[in-house]
Amino acid sequence: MVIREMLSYRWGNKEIVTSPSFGEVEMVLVQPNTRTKEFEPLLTIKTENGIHERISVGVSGVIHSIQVKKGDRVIPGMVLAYIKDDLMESV
Amino acid sequence: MKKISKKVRPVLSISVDDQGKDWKAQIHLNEEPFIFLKKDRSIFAYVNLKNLANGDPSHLSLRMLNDHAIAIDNIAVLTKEKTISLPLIFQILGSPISLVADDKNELTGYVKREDALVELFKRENQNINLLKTMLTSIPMGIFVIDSDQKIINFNESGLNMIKSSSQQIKHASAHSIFNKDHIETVLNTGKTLLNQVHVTEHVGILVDYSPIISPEGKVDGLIVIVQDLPMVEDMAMEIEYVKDLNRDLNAILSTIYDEILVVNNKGELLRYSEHIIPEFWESDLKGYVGKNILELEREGNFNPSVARLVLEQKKKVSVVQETRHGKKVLAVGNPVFDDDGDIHRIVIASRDITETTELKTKLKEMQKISNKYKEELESFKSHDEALKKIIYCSPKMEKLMAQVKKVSDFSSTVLILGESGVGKELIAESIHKLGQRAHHPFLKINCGAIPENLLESELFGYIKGAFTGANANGKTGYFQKADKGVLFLDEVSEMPLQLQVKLLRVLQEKEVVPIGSTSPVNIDLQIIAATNRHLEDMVKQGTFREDLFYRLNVIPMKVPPLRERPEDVPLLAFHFLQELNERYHKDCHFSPDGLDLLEVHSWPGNIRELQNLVERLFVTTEDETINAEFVSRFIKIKTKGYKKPIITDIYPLQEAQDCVEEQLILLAMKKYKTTTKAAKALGISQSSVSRKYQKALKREESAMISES
Repeated sequence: MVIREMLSYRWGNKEIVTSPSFGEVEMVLVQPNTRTKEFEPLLTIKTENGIHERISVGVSGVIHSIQVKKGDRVIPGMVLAYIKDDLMESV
Repeated sequence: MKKISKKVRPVLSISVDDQGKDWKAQIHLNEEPFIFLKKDRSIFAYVNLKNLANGDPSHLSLRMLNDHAIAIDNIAVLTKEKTISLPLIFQILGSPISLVADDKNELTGYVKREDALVELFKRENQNINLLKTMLTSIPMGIFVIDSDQKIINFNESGLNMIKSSSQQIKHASAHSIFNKDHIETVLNTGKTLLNQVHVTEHVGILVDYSPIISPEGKVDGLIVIVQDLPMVEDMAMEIEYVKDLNRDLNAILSTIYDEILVVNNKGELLRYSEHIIPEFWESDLKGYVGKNILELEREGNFNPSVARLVLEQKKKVSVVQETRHGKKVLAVGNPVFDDDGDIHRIVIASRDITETTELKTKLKEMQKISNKYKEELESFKSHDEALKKIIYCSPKMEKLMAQVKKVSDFSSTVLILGESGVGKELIAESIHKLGQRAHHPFLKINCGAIPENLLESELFGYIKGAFTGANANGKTGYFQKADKGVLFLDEVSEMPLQLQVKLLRVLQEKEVVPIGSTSPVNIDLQIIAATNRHLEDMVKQGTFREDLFYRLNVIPMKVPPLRERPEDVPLLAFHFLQELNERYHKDCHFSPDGLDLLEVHSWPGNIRELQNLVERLFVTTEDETINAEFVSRFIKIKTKGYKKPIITDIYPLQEAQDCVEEQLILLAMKKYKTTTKAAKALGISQSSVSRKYQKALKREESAMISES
């Protein structure tokens, strides 16, 4: 199992988590509207090379939505989840 | 019609029923191209032999004649009496021949069209006028264009339709008004073009182009028939409306997303929103319409393409795209399916998430937040202003103000106690201003100042007709007026017993019954009562209701009199003097010894007295400096009128003497700091003050040691 700590993209007060590699979603480990801590595993991807990757991101917050489900094909750049980050709540 | 008779040709008729061969011989004899067909002895049709068998009658058959027979029903019949009318001219024009009949309506012959027209035009000019009126009476515009594509003739309605004048049109090039391509096609091919919509800025017409074909089969020119199209204008208006709608829609979409694209199931760009993400596309998006945007991914313009992913996965896909130049775009592709469940279109909504853009939005958010902080700061400032009105530096007042701040958060009834003139009202005001009721009314009423009967109606209000002389519309009482706010009852001790009962009810039930009314009104208010009297004593005397006392005495606050906090005197005196200086534009000030003297004064009238004294000093002083000597003129007598200590218990005399002496010495030293001044105030020598002070200090010290 390879642990991939991803850099997320920020949009508004959400962080966009994208896939780092080509592969298939193996497991989704979090639910929408639940809290996640920094570098907590979000999901696992089985890459085309057969490597299992565990995706995590340096963001604490609430999972806003999950864009993929088990078995989905993913490619680099594809959005996996949106996380509403605790840091800056806009007024 | 007499002159026509010369041109009348005889009728050669052949019976269709007759099967004999002699008719061919008859035709041979006939030089005229027209023969007439007879059936049941009456002529019903004619045949133009020129159209048949190249004019050689030997090949003719009866059947051929039948096939080419033209009924005579529509042919003009000319008689001697008949006047020439417009429809008749039409009829003459319509067919190659016209029939001539005699008085009895018997067919006597026929005239060829050319002959009939020549005769008609020869006769009178009015016939030509007739032709012209005929042309103008047609509700369509007619333009005649020659082979050089110039307009050579037209009618009035035509001019109206193209909104032009005859000078402008005459011999003008047809291209300037009509479609050049259409005119050329008609001239070159000889085909008729119908129903061509021609719309310019101010003209909306339906145009038919029809060639004029010469007898040799050449196109000699064309006739353009124009019809007005009021609905075309309506359509144009509608297009404007749709344009507006489109603009609005674009604006709405661009607030939600930075860019929206629509591609078809092959990935070809169909349309795009007005607002696009700058720097994302390497050239103008216009050039991409109809092109496959999947190609751009292959070219490496950006990666990955969301359209391709949607096509592959057949579901909504979100992707972060990155261009060659590092622009980052969040693209969400949404498939639109057709009835068969195949992808019909893909709508791609994109948002720029590049760092700079992100920073911009962040900045905006920060501005919002800082604005919020600013507002909060302002509100704190205004809080402070409420407190600024109360001037103090003594620990006693500090303690009280802390209590005020605490109490202001709640709606509990407050009872402010204190001598007259200590600023009870100010305290009540600051409780109001600091609390949540600050935006609601703060009403004050002096219970001692209003006659008993009036007080009731002032506080509780009345309904109409409650008593004689009452306002016809009734009156809202203070309690109701102060709803959600604060009601300050000054001199609550002066409230008559009767009303005390009613007030008790208000405090307990939180409802008011106006005079004369039977229905209670619910109220929500904070009551702050104030008195300078000793309520407990009044309760004992029976002039104040005990239950009301306990009801009011929820949070008692005692405002210390000024003599208990001499530290505040200079501050207050300075403040009042400053106020007066500002008002009268003067620059008076106290000398230090003047302030000292003020501090020593016992101030039975408290702050009110101090304020008035400062004003008196300010008005009467001749110097700008107010010194002790000047002050002493006003308060000298009063300094001596100190309060005699009241002993309520029995002490051994010596002990009491020592105690009083010690307290006096300490007090004097505390006030005057120097033994000389203290000796002066106490009326003893400086040396004895010094001695007694040393003794007192020693005693204090030993007391502290034994305590610890």
